[in-house]
Amino acid sequence: MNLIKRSLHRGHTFWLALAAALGAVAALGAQGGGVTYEQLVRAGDDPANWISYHGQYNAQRYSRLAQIDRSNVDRLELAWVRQLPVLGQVQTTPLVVDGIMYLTTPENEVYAVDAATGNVFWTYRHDLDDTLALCCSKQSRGVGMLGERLYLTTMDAHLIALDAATGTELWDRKIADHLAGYSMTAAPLVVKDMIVTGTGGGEYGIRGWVDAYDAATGERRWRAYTIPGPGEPGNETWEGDSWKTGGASTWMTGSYDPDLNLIYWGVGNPGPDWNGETREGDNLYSDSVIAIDADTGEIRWHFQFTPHDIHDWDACQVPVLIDVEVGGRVQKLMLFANRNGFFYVLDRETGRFLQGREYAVQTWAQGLDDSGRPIRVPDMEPTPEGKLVYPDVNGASNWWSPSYSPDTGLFYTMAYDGGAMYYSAESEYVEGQLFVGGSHVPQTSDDARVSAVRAIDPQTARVVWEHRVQPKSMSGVMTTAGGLVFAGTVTGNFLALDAETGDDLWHARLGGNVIAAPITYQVNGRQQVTIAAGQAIFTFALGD
Amino acid sequence: MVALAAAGVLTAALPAAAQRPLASIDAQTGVDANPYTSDEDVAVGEELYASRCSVCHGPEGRGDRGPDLTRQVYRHGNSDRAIFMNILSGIPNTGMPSVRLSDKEMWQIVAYVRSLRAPAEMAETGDADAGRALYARHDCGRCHFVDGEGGRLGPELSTIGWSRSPVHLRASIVDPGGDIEDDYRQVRVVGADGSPTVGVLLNEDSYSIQLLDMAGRLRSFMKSDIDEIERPQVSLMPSFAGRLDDPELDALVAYLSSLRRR
Repeated sequence: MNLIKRSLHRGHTFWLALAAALGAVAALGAQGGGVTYEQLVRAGDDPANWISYHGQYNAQRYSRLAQIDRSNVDRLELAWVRQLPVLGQVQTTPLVVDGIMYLTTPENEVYAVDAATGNVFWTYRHDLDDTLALCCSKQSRGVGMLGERLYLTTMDAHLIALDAATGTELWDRKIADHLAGYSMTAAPLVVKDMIVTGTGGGEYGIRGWVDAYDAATGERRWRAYTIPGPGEPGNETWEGDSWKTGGASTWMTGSYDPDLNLIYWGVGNPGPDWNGETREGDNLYSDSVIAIDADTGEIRWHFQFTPHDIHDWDACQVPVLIDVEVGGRVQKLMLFANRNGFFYVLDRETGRFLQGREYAVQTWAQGLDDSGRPIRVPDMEPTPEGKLVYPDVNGASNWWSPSYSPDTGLFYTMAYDGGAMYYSAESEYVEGQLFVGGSHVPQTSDDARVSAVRAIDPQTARVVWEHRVQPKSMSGVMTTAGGLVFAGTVTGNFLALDAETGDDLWHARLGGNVIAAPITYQVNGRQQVTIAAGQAIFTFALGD
Repeated sequence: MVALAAAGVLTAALPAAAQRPLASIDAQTGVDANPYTSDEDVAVGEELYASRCSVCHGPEGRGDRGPDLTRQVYRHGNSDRAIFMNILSGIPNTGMPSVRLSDKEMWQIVAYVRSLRAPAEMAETGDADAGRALYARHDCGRCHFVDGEGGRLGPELSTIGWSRSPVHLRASIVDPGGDIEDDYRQVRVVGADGSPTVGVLLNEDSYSIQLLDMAGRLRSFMKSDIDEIERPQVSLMPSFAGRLDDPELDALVAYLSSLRRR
């Protein structure tokens, strides 16, 4: 290392310094830059950066980087750790743009850190309201980026624009009433010049929606309600006024097809969760995936996975978009590993069901009919005495990001086999109060639970291989051109599997729950892999 | 269901105060009015204030780097409870830290701060509109940011009227180097090829250094790749001593004092 000289230059004036700086063309170091819509559309061509929550609009969470591959992954070493002084579980998917990493904490803080060292450039903290209506825990899973701005949604229902270079707040819009149960924990989706966000609140009797906001001003462009109002098709699937408090939240980040100009978004459970007696009917568009016209907010099509759900198996999983050639024609497909235990292949132009099959243990349906509608097993509803049903309330999968590798042609998801006793109860709607109509008790002790990374062939909807992890996992997965699948476990293991076979190639013990999804990117010519665990961010790269 | 907890258990929303990680017993039980307001409490509060608060808020509460506490309206809440919570938890994105004292001591500080409030807000002597024009004429927005517009190198000024006293604002204009905040220290990194990068120091350890360069970009350098680090002990802001006369300074201070976005 060169000797670092420290000197005082009192004679320098501001203008001389400015002139010197502007005259210099620095060839060293990371540089923050912006993200254009065109870059978002072609994100797959730029694997050095990870510029949106899913990495790409298609949500494949696949990277073309191959510096780390099956032959050398066992040489992965810790590059840096960034501890975050928070109490909650960090579930962020960071963004990395030109060597700058942007991440969030469960307190609605945003950090800009140097992706090469983990050192902090700046931090921003939203002053959260003291009173929050959250079903589960404080959380913030990431930011969106457009131009040199970051976009954060908050648990007290704000949409905030920040300057990416300084963390300065540019504007702050209150977009819903958090005291009535609306809250945001997901990273927003940037589409064209809009910021698209859903809302939580499925346990608070909200009426869900997906919103688009002007990225420059924060003004709302459109709102797509996920429960049709009176006179709109689908409203008749709700008994009486139950549509007003039917939930159908939209709490995870959707995906987008720029060619079809359609935004795809998973929709949450109907409310009250475990008592469907007051909301007879299919309860559209709860437990569905919807396709939204990006320009107008019109819902072009929907597909409902679980009509009249009474187990809280909401469909807030990530819709993964792939194109496959069948008989000389490119088919535009959507792959969806649903919380209800079934894997679905849909035509994403029309929403038509193509095929589906169970990918985890489930006891509530005999199968799917030709339209994809479940054929229910009788008497599986929650009761006051309790009813044992698989999957449990966490689902066969959940918000844990899946992945698709175009190299193997396989879809990968974290899956969980477990059941729960489901109890029903009376529930009366009171604004801002939980509105769930029952409860549930998992039937498997934590240390006996088993999860598995499952690889599914979209051509057949069959599980090709599985890699079981114990005791369980709630992590997302990521695939790379190095032939790898990365995943984690709640006991703090972070692992790399062979994408062809599921063989365990490498793991590290991080000492904290991995309830997040990995990313990969390149800094100074070096491929790195980053994952959140516990209250920290861990980054790995190949050892020298 | 939103945001599955690690245990996968549905939990009800916590009571308001319980969600603050540092919330004290009194705060959690919802005490709104100060239970410690005797003359003796005020006297104890004054001693505590002198040792813990005066360095930023000034010896008599008239503000310096920190806000003037004698004003009628506080940006972050006027109630006893709000002041108590701001002492207890600090105020995000400001220089106000969390102060760890007993509940009683914090209430006593609240009692003293209450006793400081002037009967009426002191009027600014300058012409804020003229100050706004001066701000534009001297291109202050090149480096400073106000309500959605401006540069990145200097401190944001959208709320500077809340957080800085007029005395401190005036001093900062005529002698910017007199009190440089840690977040705005100048640094000059010279690469092995001799190319310099000037900016504001954001972070540094034994192996690397991070800064915001003059073009407003985040930069990181490994020390093994650089030849020299210079630390000019001068502000990046030019002094306006001699460039503005007294009425102009009054006007500019009045304009800056008026910047009080909530």
